[in-house]
Amino acid sequence: MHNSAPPNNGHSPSEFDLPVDEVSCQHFVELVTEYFEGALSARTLSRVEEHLVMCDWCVTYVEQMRATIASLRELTDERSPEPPDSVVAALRSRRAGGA
Amino acid sequence: MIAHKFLRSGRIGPFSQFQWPEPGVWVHAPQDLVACRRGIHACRPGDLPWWLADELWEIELGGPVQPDEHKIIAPAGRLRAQIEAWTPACAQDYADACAWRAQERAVQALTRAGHPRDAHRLAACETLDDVLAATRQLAGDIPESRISLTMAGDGAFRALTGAPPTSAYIAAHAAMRLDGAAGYAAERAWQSQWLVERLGLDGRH
Repeated sequence: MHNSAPPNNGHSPSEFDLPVDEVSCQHFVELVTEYFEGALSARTLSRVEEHLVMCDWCVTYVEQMRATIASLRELTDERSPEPPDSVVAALRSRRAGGA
Repeated sequence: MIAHKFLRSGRIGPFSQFQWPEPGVWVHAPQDLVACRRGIHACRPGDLPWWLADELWEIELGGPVQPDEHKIIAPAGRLRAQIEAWTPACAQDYADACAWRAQERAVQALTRAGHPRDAHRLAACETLDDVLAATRQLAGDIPESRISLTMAGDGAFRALTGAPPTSAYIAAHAAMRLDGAAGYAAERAWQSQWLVERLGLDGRH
């Protein structure tokens, strides 16, 4: 959907709208998931990379996102331990009493 | 074909993180060329302002070269020599030059808006610190030129804080503010020419 659409497509016209084909910070934030998933079109990816050359803030944002993704990948699938039998029994007893 | 390529310190691709080998060693793209994904990406002279980074290299491209917007792509390439003239000091000069261009645009904006005395005051600034102070004050006083003045101030600020790509970007947008897309293109062309002349590059290819 981002192939040929200008970066400000879908936004209200404003004095800062871009008559050239560029990605703004706001638009980059909207694209960041697709950026990390490698799902951007070549044209949009090129615009994103052009933006990252000159925008320190978005570079920082990318680094933060990359660190977050790396941290999440370290999480394991281990299930939480089962509660002790005494707790289960107490809960069942309470449930039975309230029924 | 001979072209140029910006890399991070240590011959690192800014986006691919690819570690380029020593000059003279060919690098081949693994599959069909796809802009920004597969292929050796490089700059023609007019592409340079979009891709500024720590190091600038002359690169020889092999195979059919595919033109793209703001870049060219080839199936193979090898670094030839680093452009030694592209130094942090040179990059700062470039940032300063771009900031002064944005200041000139703000002066034009004030003149067009009928504020010749303020235009003269801004034009008389001798340092980028002066530009920063003047534009910040004038932007509050002259609403119709606020954006051009803010751009000039931001350009000065980004140059003062050592951000050449951002200064260049702001200068291009300051030009676009006054003269539309043609102004933007002309400003990018000026930036490219500045780099070609200062770095002694071959501006023909």
